[in-house]
Amino acid sequence: MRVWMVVRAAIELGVAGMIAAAPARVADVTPGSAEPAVSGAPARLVLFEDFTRPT
Amino acid sequence: MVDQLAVEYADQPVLFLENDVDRPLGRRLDRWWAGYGSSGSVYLPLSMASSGHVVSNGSVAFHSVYARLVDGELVRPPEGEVDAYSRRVGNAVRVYVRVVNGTGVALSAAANAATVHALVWEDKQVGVTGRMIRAAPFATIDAVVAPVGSYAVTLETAALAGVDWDKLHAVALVDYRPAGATGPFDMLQAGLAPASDLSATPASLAVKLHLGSPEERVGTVALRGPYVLSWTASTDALWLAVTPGTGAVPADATVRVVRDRLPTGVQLGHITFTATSADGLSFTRTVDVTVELTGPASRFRRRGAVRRTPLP
Repeated sequence: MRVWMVVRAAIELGVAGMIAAAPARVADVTPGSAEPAVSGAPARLVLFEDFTRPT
Repeated sequence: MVDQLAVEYADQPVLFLENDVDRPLGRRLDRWWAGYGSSGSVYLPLSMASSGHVVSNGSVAFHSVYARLVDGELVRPPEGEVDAYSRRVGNAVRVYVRVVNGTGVALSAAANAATVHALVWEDKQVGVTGRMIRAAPFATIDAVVAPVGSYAVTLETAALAGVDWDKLHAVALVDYRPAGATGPFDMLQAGLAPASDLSATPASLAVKLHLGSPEERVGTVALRGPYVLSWTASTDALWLAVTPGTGAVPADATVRVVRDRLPTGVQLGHITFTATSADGLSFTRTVDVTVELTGPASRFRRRGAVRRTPLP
């Protein structure tokens, strides 16, 4: 029983090792996508000022 | 026209403001002239976006010309960050501004006339529009702020009379002369200055830990508010710790458990962040922390399997 548990642990460790070795998926890239390169980047707050003479 | 454009751009990051050309405030009209680039006769209204990066004057096809100026600025990425908060002090408005230099050059008053401004405006039909600037305090950047470096300054208006305080708002901005000592100004970024406050987010943290696991980290609490605030963290549980325990705002505080003091089962603790400033600001925020300490971690447990010692 003890021997089988050790063997099984070794097998599972091997499987876990294979999973860990798999490259991480970074992103889905669609050629020609109109999405901005950096999503969530802060936008410019545009300040428009008008100089007038109040009547 | 400006009021109409303000409605049309209501869902975009654009702020339309009016200045009285006969009573110029701060250094705003200077920016228009620098953007115009020469002296001589010009005709009202004078208009500019981004501190004079683009300007217009006289009777033009207002809607299309102004919209083109705004649209051109909307597609430009900001070249910095502006984090601002405001506060009424007597009959004045105090604005706390922290800017981050996102340009590739050092900013300073001496090298490129870098300046931080606060514009305090009133949402009320005072002049031509319903958005009249009432004060525009400013400060030149009296240091050399390297790229990615930050600079903080407190600006304050003179006492304001005859204003509806419920309709006053503030925005802060930083501008400079890209060409150096002369030439047009350009605005790096602007930021609305809401009422001074301390935010501690998230308001609650919850995590499950396993006996035998070395994991101590519960999460991070982001502290945001006026740059003048200094904060201290305290907890009501021996098993709960915050690092660092004190600091300046903005900050990210890491929440951890003290493993050898953490009882098994579900524990609830609280972190109290207290922040004060030398000029009288004071805030307290509480974050709830729930930690559940359960049996040993197991990646291999199967129904019916018995394991007496945790695997590494």
